[in-house]
Amino acid sequence: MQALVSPRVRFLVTAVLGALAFAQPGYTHHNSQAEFGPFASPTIYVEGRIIDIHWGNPHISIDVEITGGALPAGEKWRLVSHPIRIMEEYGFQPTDFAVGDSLKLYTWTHVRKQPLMWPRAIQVNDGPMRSNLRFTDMIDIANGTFESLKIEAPLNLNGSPPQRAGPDTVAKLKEMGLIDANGLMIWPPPAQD
Amino acid sequence: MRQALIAAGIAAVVSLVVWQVFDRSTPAEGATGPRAFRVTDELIEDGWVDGSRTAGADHKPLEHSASSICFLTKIEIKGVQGPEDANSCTIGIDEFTGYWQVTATVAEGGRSEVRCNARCLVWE
Repeated sequence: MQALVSPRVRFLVTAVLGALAFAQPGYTHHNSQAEFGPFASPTIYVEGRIIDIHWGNPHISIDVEITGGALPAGEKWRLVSHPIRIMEEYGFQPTDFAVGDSLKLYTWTHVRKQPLMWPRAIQVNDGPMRSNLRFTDMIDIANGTFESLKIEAPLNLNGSPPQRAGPDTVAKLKEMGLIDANGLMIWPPPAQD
Repeated sequence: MRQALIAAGIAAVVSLVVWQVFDRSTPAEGATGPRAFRVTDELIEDGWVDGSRTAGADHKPLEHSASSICFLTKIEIKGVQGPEDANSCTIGIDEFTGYWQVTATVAEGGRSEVRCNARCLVWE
């Protein structure tokens, strides 16, 4: 077999396979847009109390009893979000959440009416309202609405590839000077002279 | 062979439940019973765990357990390499929400992938 395949071909095959192995654009698990709607779709505002926390893979989840907002008080919903590693890249730690804490959420709900929420932004007790979806941040930044939402940008917004926010958003961000030479998001905006 | 036995078992349980429900759908005069049945579609996204990335359990809610019963429709396992690849698809009631849920699990140390899906018979 080795005699049939030249070292050069073997090198090329190895290089291509190696590149494919490391070419994943990031950890992609479930397609949240299929279950919760597009990144740009409207969210609802919900308040709740943490009943239980599952800080695990393939994605974290938090059981929430609704206390106010757009869903009936007393209902039981499950907040689902990213895998642990991605949560940490956003700046969330398991110690940020505790049973009994109050939550304020801008969230999407499941398109099939199952009691699931995917939060666009999360506020724990009196802390800041923190982004949980950087691609929606990019869309809101491109539309000029991000600052009015008073949502704190995530740690991984700067340097993030923006393609999943959509081509129109990427084009607007480029016009705004928020995409660097490598095609990655710049945040916060560069200081103006 | 094992899959055939499991499928036969599931079919028997669903048949029994359907028979029981229909049997109650001809109640005595004045009593109320289920008026309509429907079978749900499979979930949009499978319960899915890829152990090559990370092991764990993925729970997917189905329908409220007060008016439905659910059954597995998909068990897909890929990349089994050894005894540490202990994967499963299960259906149970989530005590918090009261919903049936399908759970895909790759045990700690497993490197394979499991996908599960389910449908439900709902009475209204």
